[in-house]
Amino acid sequence: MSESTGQPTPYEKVVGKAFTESIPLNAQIEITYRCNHLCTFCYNSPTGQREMTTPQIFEALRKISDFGVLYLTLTGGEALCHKDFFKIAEEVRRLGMALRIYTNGYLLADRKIVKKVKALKPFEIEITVHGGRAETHDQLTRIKGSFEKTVAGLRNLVDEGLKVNLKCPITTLNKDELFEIKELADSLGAYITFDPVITPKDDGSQDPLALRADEEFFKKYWAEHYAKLHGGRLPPRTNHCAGGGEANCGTGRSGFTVDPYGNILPCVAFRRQVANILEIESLGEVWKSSEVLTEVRDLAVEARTRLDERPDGAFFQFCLGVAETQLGDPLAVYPQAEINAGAIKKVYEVIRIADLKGRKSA
Amino acid sequence: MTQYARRHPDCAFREVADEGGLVVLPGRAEVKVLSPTAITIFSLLDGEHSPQEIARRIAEEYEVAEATALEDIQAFVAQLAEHGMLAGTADEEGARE
Repeated sequence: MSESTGQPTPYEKVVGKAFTESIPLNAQIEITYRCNHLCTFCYNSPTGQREMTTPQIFEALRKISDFGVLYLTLTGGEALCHKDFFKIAEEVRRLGMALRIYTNGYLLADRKIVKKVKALKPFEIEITVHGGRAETHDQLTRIKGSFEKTVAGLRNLVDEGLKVNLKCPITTLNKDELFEIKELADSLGAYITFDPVITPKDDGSQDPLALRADEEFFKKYWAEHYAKLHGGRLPPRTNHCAGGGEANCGTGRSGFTVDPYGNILPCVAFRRQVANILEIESLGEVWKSSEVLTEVRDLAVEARTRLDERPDGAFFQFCLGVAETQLGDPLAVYPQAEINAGAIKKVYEVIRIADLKGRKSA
Repeated sequence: MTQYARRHPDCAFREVADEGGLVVLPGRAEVKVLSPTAITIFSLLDGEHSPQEIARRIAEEYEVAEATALEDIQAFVAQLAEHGMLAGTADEEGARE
């Protein structure tokens, strides 16, 4: 939104149009579940099936490109653990898609690997950091020395002039290090987002939720820490993937995910199988006629409608996928969403009260 | 053989319905927004379409005079060159005349 006019920017208009017409500009392929970390809260749930071969991944990429996707994210597991990562990434570029890479950054401590990544001309690279100190990060990844490697990888990427974004899932172990993590990001000129939600594993195991920070922390996070960590900005009131229309988010609409077995999913969090990309002729037909996708899109609209009926509904960042995995119902309000919404609502109430002339909250 | 103006091979782009389109410049991690006409022209800058052929297409689609379309295309291609969104070709100047 333009600050001066309050009107959508040209970019927002185009992306908004793509959202309302369900034109997916984004796709993500989990090219493997293999990983060189053992993160305690990882949501991946390999089933033991055979993962797609490299030629099959190429076939999937061709169908995705033919469908008109603009941004293609390679992720995993750990994407760079795939033995053919660079061949796959080169194919993404050859097909004319903008390449994003999600990685833990460990292997990027090797400058030679970073130079190979640079040669791909990626649009951006996102790296997950789990702490401001080695002990914390390594405790969460369960790999000794991983913090040092990740930070070295970060520095190598920045030195090569590549665009790097950092992401940090907030856990009970790193919640007191957010400002140190922010300092690390700032020292490298990298943008950072803090993820306030820990999700269950894709197979429904709730074990990762034991790492959630408590409600008292999140009240303070939204009221005090958020603005300081995000350049003075107020907490967001919608999902990052919401298009501003009648749907809660972009699941099955603005993008989709493909797992290592070729299953097409409405998004990375909503693990309902739409079809297998190796068994279809074209994505276009599936995108238009899939009953799974129609239901998912309707559910996203229903979620928005239900949230709008709540007094705190305007402050929700709600994920249907997390709701389904955690509670078995994509419309059920899970505790983390409710805690965050309540805390964010309070922030906006305090601001509104402080804005009224001469009147402050009790 | 004359090679006509060609979009930079590192660009990724997509048209979005009738709203225009997006062009991603990975080397600079930038995204440009193009109008519907501009994205149509950009999609035809594949080194195989002459400015005159593109002008004919635009004139038909948007019901404008071909001469006007050609002028606009040449100005647009010059802007793309300024922004580093074209591949370097030896005959680019010739193709724009």
